[in-house]
Amino acid sequence: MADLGRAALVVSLGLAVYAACAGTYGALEKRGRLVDSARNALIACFFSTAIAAIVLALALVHHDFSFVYVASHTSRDLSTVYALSAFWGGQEGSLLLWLLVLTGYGALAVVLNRRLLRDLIAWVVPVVGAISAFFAFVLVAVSSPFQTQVPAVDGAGLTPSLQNPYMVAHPPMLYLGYVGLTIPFAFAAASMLSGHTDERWIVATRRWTLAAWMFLGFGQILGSHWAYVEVGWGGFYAWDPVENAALMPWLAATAFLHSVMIQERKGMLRVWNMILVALAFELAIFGDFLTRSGVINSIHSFAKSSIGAWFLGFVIVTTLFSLVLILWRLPLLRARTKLESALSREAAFLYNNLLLVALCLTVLWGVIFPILTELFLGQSRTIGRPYYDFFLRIFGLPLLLLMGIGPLIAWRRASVRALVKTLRWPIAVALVAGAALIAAGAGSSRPGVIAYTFSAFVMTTIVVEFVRGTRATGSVFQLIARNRRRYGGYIVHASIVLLAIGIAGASAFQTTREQKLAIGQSMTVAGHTVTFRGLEHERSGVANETRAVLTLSGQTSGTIRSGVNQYFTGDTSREVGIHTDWLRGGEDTYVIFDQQQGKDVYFKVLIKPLVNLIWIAGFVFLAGSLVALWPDAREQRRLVARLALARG
Amino acid sequence: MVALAVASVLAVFLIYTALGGNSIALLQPSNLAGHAGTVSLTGKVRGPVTGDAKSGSGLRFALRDIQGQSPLVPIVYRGSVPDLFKAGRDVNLTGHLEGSSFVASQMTTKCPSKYTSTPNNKA
Repeated sequence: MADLGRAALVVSLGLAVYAACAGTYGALEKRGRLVDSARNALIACFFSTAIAAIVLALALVHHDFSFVYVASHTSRDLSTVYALSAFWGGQEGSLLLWLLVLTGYGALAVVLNRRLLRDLIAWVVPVVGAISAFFAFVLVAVSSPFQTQVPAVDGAGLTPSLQNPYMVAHPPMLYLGYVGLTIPFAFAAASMLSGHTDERWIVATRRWTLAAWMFLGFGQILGSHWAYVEVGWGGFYAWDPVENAALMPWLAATAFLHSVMIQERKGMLRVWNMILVALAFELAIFGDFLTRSGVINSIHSFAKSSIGAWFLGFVIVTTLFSLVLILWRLPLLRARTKLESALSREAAFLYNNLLLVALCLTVLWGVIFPILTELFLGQSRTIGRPYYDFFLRIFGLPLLLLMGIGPLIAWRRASVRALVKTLRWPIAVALVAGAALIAAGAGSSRPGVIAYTFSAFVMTTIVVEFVRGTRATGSVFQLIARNRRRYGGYIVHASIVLLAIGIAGASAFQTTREQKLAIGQSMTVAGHTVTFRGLEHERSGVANETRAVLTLSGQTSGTIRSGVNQYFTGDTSREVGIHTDWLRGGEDTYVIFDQQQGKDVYFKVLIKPLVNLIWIAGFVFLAGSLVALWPDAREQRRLVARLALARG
Repeated sequence: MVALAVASVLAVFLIYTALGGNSIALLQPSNLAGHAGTVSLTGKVRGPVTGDAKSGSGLRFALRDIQGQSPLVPIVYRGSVPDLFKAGRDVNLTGHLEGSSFVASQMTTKCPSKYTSTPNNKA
C-alpha cells in the first residue's frame, strides 16, 4: 500500500512539473494543444494526489502501523474519526492535505474559467503547476508520509487535548483558507505574465478570495474557541507565532478584498492590488514555514527541522518572482484615475487598506522580532502581549470607526456637512451609548469605552442601511437577494462589530481572582459568589476524573463542575468549568481547577463579560461571507457583458 | 506615494517602539549567567521535581538546554503548573535570577510530539 502512495506522489510531481514547463512553453509560443495538455496534466495531478491521500486515509483508519506516520500519530484505541483527523495532525500528512487542496482548487479554477478566460488560463496552469511541484517535491524527497517500518504493535497515540471535535474541523478549515489564497495569486501572476492586466482576473477570482478568506477567518474562530474551552488558561488568543501565522494572511486578504472594489469600479490601486495579493499568498506560505520549521519556536522548544530551509527558499523565490513581475509590468499597471479628495469613498478604502496592512506588518514584525534581534544584536529577544495589544488598539479602533463611515460616504468627493447629515443617527446613538457606558462605570477602561462607542456607531449605520433598503424593496430578503455583495458585506461588518464587543468585554472588562477554598467556603469575584461544594471522583475507561462542584450565587446562579483528568498514559488534563449567563449578554464565569491540596483546592475564577459574542460573531461572519459568495445569475450576466465589451 | 510615506513613517515608529524597551531576552540555561532582570528561559525539565508551586518555597526542579550539554539551572517556580509539565518536557519560564537559582512565576509547556506548537498551556 505504501508503495502505491509513494508512486502516486511521484506521478503527481511529474505531472506538476510537466504542467509548469509545458504550460510555460505553450503559453509563450501560443501553442493551444500544448496549453490544453498542460491543463489536463494539472487536473490529472489532482487525481494522483487523491490516490495518495486515499492510501494514507485507509492506513490511518485500519491502524496500519507499518506506516511510520500512522504509528507515530495514532493508536489502536483511537476512534475512526480521530484516527482520520491525524491526517492533518502531523507534518507529512498535513503537507499531503495541502497538495491535495492545492491541486483540487487549481483544477477546479482552471476548468470553470477555461472558456471565458482562455488567455489567462494558459498562464494560470504553469503557475499553479510550479507551486504544486514544490509541495509534491517536498512530499517525495524531504518529508514523505509513506515511510514504512516493521509494524509496531500499537502507535504512540494522539495528545488528549487534540481528541476534540474542534481539532477535526479547525485545521482543514485553515488549510482550505491558506491554500485558497494561491488561486487569486496565480490569476494575478497570469494576468501580468500574459500582459492582460485588465480587471478580469479580479472578477474571476473574487469568489476564490472570499472563500479562502472565509475559511481562514472561521477556522481561526474555531481554533480560538477550542483554546478557550479545551486548553483552559482562560483566554482565546495568545499572539502565539502559529496563531499569528493565520492572522497575517487573513489581514492581507481583508485589505485585498476591499481594495479590489476600487479597482473594479475606478481602475485605481492596480499596483497595490498586485502587491496585496502577493503579500497574502507569501504570508500563507510563510505561515506554513513558521509552523513547520520551528525557527521561531526553536527558542521556545522545537528542534529545527530540515524542512524549514525548503520553505524559506520557496518564500524567497516566489517573493522575488512576484516583485520582478510587478516591476516588469509597471507601465501596464498605471492607474487610469487619481484620487480626487481625501474625503471620499475611495479615500476611505485607502485608509482601511493602510490600517489593515499596518496591522498585518506589525504582527509580522512581532513574529520575526526574535530572529531579527538574534541576527543584528546577537541576542534573541521577544516582544509580548503588550506590544500586540497596543497596536491592535492603535490600528484596530480607527478601522472599526471606518467600517461605519466607509460604506456611507460619497464616491469621488464628499463634504463634511453631507457626511454628518448621513451619519446623524449613528453619531447620536454612539454619543448616547458612550455617555451611558461611562455612567454605568465602564470608564475603567478607556480603550474599552472607545471600542463600545465605535461599535454602537457602526452597528447603527448597518441597521439604518438595512431599514432604508428594506423600505425601498419591501422585504429584507429581497434587499439581500438584489445586492448580495453589499448586504453580505454589511453582515460581515456586523460580525466584526460583535467580535470587537466580545474581545473588548473579555479583555478590557475581565475580572480574575485566585484563591484556595476548603469545602463549604466561597469567594466573591465581581459580584459573583462562587461556593465550593465538594469533590466528585469517577474512573472512566481512560482516566481518573476528579471534579470540584461549585455553585454560583449573587449576580448569576448555576452549578459549575471544574476538575482534572489523570489519564492512565500519565498525561493530565484540566477540564475547565464554564457557566454562561445569556441574560447578562453572554457573560461567562470561568473556573480553573488549579491545584489540589488535600481536600482544599486552589481555584482561579474569571468573569468574562460578553465573551460569547465572539463565537456568535464567527457564525454571523460565516453567514455574511456565504451571502456575498452565493452564485448570482445577474452578476454573471454583467460579467459576460463586460468581458464581451473588453474583447470587442 | 502617500502609501510609501505612511509606510516608512510607520516602519521607523515600529522599530523605535520595538527596540526601545518592552522586549525581554530569550535565553537558555547555557547563556543565562549574568543576566539581571526579567528574562524568558527555555529548556528541558530535569527531575527530581519536588515541593509545591503554591507554597512559599515553590516547586523545585532543574532546567538544561533542549539540545546539547549545558549547566543545570535550579528553578524555583510559584504559580500554576501547566497540564503537560513533567520531567523531560520542554518548558518556557518567565522570571529572574536570584543568586544561582532562577525564580519564575510563569510557565508554558509545548507538546513535544507535535510539529506545531500546539496550544501550549498558558499558566
